[in-house]
Amino acid sequence: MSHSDALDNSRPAGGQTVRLSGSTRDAALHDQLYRYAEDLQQLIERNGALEAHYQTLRESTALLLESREELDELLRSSRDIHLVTDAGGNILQSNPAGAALAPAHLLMGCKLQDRVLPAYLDNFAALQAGAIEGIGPSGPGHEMHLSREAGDASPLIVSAQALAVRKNGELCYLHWILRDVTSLRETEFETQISSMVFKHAGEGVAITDIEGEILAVNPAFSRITGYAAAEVIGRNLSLLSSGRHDAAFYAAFWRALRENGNWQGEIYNRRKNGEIYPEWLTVSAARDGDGGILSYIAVFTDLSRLLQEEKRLSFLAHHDPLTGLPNRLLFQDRLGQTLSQSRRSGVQFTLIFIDLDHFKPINDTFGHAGGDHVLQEVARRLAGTVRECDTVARIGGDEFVILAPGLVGDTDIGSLCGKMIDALRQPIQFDGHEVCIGGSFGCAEYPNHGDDEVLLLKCADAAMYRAKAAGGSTYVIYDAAPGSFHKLKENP
Amino acid sequence: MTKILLVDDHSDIRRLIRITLGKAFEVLEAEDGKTGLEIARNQKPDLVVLDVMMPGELDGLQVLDAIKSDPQLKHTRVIMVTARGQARDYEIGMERGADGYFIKPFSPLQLVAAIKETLAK
Repeated sequence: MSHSDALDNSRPAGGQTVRLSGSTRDAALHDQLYRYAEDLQQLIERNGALEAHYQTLRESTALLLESREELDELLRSSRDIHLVTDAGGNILQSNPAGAALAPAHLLMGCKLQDRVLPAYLDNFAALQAGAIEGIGPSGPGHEMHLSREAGDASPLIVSAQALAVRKNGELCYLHWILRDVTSLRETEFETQISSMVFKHAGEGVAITDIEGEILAVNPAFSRITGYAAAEVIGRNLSLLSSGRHDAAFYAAFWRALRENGNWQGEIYNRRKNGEIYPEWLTVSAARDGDGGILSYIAVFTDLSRLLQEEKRLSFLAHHDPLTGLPNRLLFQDRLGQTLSQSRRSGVQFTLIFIDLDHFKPINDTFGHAGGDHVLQEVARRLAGTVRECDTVARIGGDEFVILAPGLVGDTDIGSLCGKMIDALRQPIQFDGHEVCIGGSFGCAEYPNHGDDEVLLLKCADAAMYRAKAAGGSTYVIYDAAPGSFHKLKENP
Repeated sequence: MTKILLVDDHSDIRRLIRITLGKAFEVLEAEDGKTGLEIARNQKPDLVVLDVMMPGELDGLQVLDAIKSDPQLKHTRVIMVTARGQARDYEIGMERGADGYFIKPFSPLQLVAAIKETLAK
């Protein structure tokens, strides 16, 4: 079937050539048909590919339609507010979630920015400009507070995003996605406040489970009890027990908690260093939605400081701030007590009035500082001379009084007064100077010279004046005989 | 409608080409060179598909010469078709003004593509 045979024109003409020519024509047709078949196959293949492509296209179009519907459904059911506005903020469309802001018919045609509270207009402008300039959504979105329909004062807090919708590069809409974060922010705020209170409260706070096992404590807890949080978390609150309360106390405590959900009262607990201290404790139950007790919150105030303060105030009220000696108030109190005890027990006592000699010139020469120094030194010397059971009080500028229970008789009184006179006569150093003073002592005995406070004080006072009149640095015991005084020691 | 003249002594081949061209063209046929030239002069086809080797007074190359020397036909597009191995025919044909050249057996798809391309020039 060679073509060269057919094309060999040099061959002599004849039947053979014609025959050959006929066979050549068939061969050419055959070959051409073969090429047709090849092309046909190619066409069929291409057709198959086209059909497959067509099918894919049809399917993807259907998917596109389906996803378009899904998208619409998503927007309809979205809890986020989706708004479509023009570039100027006029609301054109809203999904049902927009009702949180206002009913749809009231939103349409309104400007979104008219709903934005003034403090958040900058955020709104930034979102709008960002979307229009194609900067796109910046981060997680800006927060805005929006006003709801009139009558609802609380703002709607939204995290907002704005997206530009363009057609052929031209801006046609802004798509706003507003996520309601109102309750989230409110909860956050409450949590923040609670945690701030927990952290910074002056009261110790411990949160326990229903068995009393500690779940959390605040810094004040550690400050008061001495236990760091890590030392107590997981342990029972009973580790603070002082042992001062009996089982019945704790039983009542737990019963009140279980029955009423709270207990309040004064309780003694023990610090880590072993010190027992009073605290004012309030325990409240935290309940779950069904009313079941989830945990207990114990809040306590350390009362030891308060008690100390109370004692200090009481001390201040009853003592002379300059010398620390009992003042007139406390002296009268002690005198009253001693009197009533003596009346019951029959034990006698002596009251000694002391007025300092030559004190005024010291004040005049050295000023109050000098006078104060002398008074403090006198107080020390008197207190250092009397017996432990005696009370030395300062009842006036340079007036002191001594209450000496069980001290009676000229000898004993004279002995004590003599010691005190000697003590006061020793020179007092002040600011490089040496000053000398003395004391005039007036003594009255119970019950010999009087059986009540007024009388005793009057007698002691009168005796003191006698000592003063005698020149000071001496003592006089009151003499019941009119106009006469017992004088045991003269001015030396 | 674009007129295409097929000049080939093999009627089956003509038929195949006609089928290939489909209904997009008005197809004229001639079974020898002389008839083909006459039809060309009368009908003024836009393109002639011309078999080189044909029995009779005029072979394909002679018809090509006649077309290119006729002032009324010289712009007619001509695509030559010849048997395999006749490389000289190709050179001669292109030298004498043919627009394209196909060797039998040709791909019908390529022929149609070449016809459309040539007509678009």
